[in-house]
Formats: sequence, C-alpha cells, structure tokens
Amino acid sequence: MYAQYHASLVRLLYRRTGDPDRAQDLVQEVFVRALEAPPANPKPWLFAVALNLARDDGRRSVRQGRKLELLKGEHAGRAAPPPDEAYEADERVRGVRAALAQLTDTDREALLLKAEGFNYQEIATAIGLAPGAVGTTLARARRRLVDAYRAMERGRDVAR
Amino acid sequence: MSHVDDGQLNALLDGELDDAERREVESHLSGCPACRARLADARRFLDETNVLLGALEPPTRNAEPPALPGSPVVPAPTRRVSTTAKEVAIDLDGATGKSPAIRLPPAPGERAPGPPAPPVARPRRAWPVREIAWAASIVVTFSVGYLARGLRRPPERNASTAAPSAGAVPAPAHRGPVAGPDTGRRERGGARAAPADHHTGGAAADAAAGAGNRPAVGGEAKPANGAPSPALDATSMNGISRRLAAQPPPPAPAAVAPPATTAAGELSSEASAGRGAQLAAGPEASPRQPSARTHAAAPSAAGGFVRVPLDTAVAHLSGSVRLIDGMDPARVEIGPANLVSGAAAGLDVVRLIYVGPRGVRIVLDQQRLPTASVADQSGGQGVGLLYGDTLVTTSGATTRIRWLTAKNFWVSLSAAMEPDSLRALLDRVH
Repeated sequence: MYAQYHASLVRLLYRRTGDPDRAQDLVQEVFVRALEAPPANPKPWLFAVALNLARDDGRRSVRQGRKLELLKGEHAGRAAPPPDEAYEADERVRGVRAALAQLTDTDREALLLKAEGFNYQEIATAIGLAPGAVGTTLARARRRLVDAYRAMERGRDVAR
Repeated sequence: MSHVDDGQLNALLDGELDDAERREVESHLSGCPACRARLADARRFLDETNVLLGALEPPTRNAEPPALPGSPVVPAPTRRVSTTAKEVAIDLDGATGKSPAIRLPPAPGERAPGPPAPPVARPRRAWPVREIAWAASIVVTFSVGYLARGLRRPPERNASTAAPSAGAVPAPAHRGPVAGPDTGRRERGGARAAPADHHTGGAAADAAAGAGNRPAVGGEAKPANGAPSPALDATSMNGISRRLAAQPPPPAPAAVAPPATTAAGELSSEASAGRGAQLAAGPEASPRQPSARTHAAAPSAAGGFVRVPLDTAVAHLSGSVRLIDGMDPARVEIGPANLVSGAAAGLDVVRLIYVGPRGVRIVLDQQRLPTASVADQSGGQGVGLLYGDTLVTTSGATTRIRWLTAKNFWVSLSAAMEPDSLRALLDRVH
C-alpha cells in the first residue's frame, strides 16, 4: 500500500500545498493513520485523508501564522536576476498554483484526484460526491482552471 | 436526445461512459455541430489542464519513498534519507542513526538502476544481515590490525603470540600475522563506519578484541565473552587496546550499531588524538593505504557526514564558504546530499555546526551548485528555489531557512530557534 500510493500522494499533496516538505510530512501522517485503522478500501481512503489533512493544515497554518513563506527578494542584496528559463518556469508554476487556488475545494480536489488516475467512482468516494456529478464537476473545474490561468497570463503580459 | 451536457462530454473523454451511454452520446454528436464544438472545447480544457498540472511536479530528490514511522513494512532496498524538515530535525538532534526515517546511504555501486523493489515485510528496526555482516567484518579487522601490528613488531614472537590470541576465541587463526596490508584498507572502512559515541566505539573494539582472528565473514558481531583475555593483555596488546578491551561488553545491538552521520568524523578526530592514530596511520599496519585522517578529508557520497578540516570544505565549495560572522564552527563536515532535505542530488553537502547561545546547535549546510541545476526547476537536480527566494519552514521547535545566493550557493540554516531569531542569524551568514 505504501509503495503503491506514496509517490502519488506526495504529488497530490505537493500540488495542493505547494510545499514539498509539508507534502512529505502529511503523507507520513496519512500512513500513520492508515496503520492505526487499516482501511478496507485503501485508495480512496488514503487520498480522502490526505485531502482532509491538507485542508486542516492550511487552516491551522493561517491561524498560527506559520504558513510556509516564500519571501521574494528578502535577500536582494545577495541575489542576482534569475536566468530567463528558470524565471519562465517559475512564473508558470506560480500561475498554475494561483489558478488552482481560485477553484473551490471540491473542484480542485476532483482535478487533483483525476490527475492521479482516479476514475469517477473513486473520485466520488474520496470527496463525497454523487458519482453522476463527477463529470460535471470536472468539466467546471477544468474550464475554470484554464480560464483563471489564461486571465493571469493576460494580466502579466499587460504588466510587462 | 437533447444536447449532451458538459458532464457527459467529459465522461466521454475520460472513458467513463458505459457502452450504451457512449453510443447514445456519439449518435447525438454525429448530428449536432454545436455539441461537437463543445466536445472540442472540453477536450482542449482537459488537455490544457493536464499540461498545467504537469507543471506542478514535486522536486524529485529520491526515487524511493522514505521509511514510514511506525510501519511494519519497510521497502527492502530503501536507504534513502531525510526529505522533510521533520527528518532534518531528527538529524539535528544527532540521532540520525537511530531515526526510522533516516537510513544508510547506498554503498558505492550497490544500488542497481531500475525501479525500486517491492516492499518486503520485516520488523522495522531489524538491521539487514548484509549491514550487520559489514559491520562485523570491520570490527573484526580492527582487531586484526591491533594484533598484526603487535605481532609483527617482535617477529620472532609471531608463532607464540598468534596461538594464544587465537585461543581466546574458538576461531581459526590463519589470518593473523599475514593480514597487514589488507588490514589497512579495512581499518579505513572502519574509520568511516565506527559508531559515533565513545561508549559504542569502545564497545566495537571490545567486540573486536573478543572476536580475535575470526575471519571477516557474515554474521552478527557479538560482544566479547566477558573479561578480556589475559593472553592478549600479556603479549600483543598495547596500553590503548588494553583500555578498550577492559570496557564492559556492550549489548549486542550496540556492537552492530549502524554508522551515524557523524561517526566517521568522531573517529577520525580521535585518531589524530592518539587512540586510533596507531591503528590506522601506522606504517606497519598499512604501508600502502592512506591514513584515516586522509580518508576523512576526501569523503565520498557513500557514507554519512565526515568531519573534515575547514580548508577541505572550502576547497570542496570551489574556494569559498559561507560562515556565520562572529562565531566559530564547532565542526566542519562533508556528507552526501541525500542526507539533507532539499539539497541538490549528487553534490556533497558541506555542513558547518555551530553551538549558539544556551548550547543551541546551529547547522549551516551548503552546496555550490552548477548553474544548470539552478535553472532546472522541473526536478532533477533542481532545488526548488530561485535566486532571491528564501524558504522558511518550521517543524516542531526547529526552524529551517533555505536560500540560493548569487554565487550559486544553496544554503540551509537550521536550529531549534524561533523563525525571527534564525532570520536575525541569517543576516550574519556571509
């Protein structure tokens, strides 16, 4: 179970939290819980717990003010301008992350689970949707993600 | 049928419609240009979503998952180390060798390329036999080094001393006097692998003394059977080895304790102080092999952190090192990147350990990155940071700050401090 889902959970939680260390920590927590109460149907269970932990972690982080900080330019004195390629890649990651952040929890989680190879039934089980609603949810989530990303790209181009 | 809704179109694209539904939808699409256009849109959104999400790949540091705390299942070949702030915190506590999340790095050439093997159920803390055998062989060769040296000094006594020392344990003595050149190499390995603290160091030597001339083969290293052999004391062991042998026998796990990250450094420093110097650096023991100190100055990524002179660390970083102003590092070490969360793979990490106010241990890790790896943000060697980024993470009481400098230094500063205090310290890193 661990070997089978570990990488997928890390990727999902990294996409969800934006913090690779946090993602690793949460995955450890997921498996600890799985050991404490082994689930009958591990796949949706593991991912549902992971997403719940990510939601709780986000709220707690904000409350405690210990949210991951990515402080641009704090040490500008030591910093040099980044290479173009790296800059572009970073812009893209930021854009996708910001676009994802604009989605509702349900839309975002449906997308992330689909990206991990979940079928509609598994998505429905993991996030508590009616199976018939998954297609509609994904359709909306995909459109909104792409629209939000494009809107940000347009804004960036205008700013330049 | 009426028009197909977006949910059905997506279900069609995702292969989630059963045959009847699919036929019905396709039948409608064949006669409805509007729905075909929406299907094309849906496909575009789907494809673009996959591309966008593909940009969010976690940094690839290690191919295999870390050991799971509390898990009875450990992937058999897993020796990867620390990837999270929490694990680094464990590392900072100096308990690396005991941490369930931190495992031995691979021996050179040991890990074959290819996918990780499936997990093998076994008790979590059980040490693999191969590692135990490895440790045992080192322990045994230590003793061979002692004995061979003592035996060779008065050559005419070889026959008489070899026999009693072999008699101390029920094992063949055929490796005794002729083990000199090989001994040096083994001792070198031993210097890297010896347990970190003095007690276990002595314990290992104690076990070695008990093991006598037993050939270095697999099997558990066992502590000596009680008191040291009088024959050893009287004939071949010098004062140092007598002191080691006089220590009480340790519990078996201590004798086979794995190398901690700082283990080799501890031993190499002790070697220069005297105890091990005669062991590893003695020309008679190993005429062709470098001393333990020389070895420590040129560590490979295969071991844990190895103590080195500051000059070596500076040379490793291409002539420049980041220091904390106004403080002197208590230790300087070099170790493999897979022991340090967030470090670029394949490049050894220079670690400076400071002791701050109230004894707080402050760890300053650094790597000099090739330019290409900085640009590679999609994984590989990328460290997930850009110039000017400062990544602050906290885990328990430990705060860690990572950043990239203009000169391609990846730097990580961590200590059990409040983030603000650590940031104040950060300003003194130059």
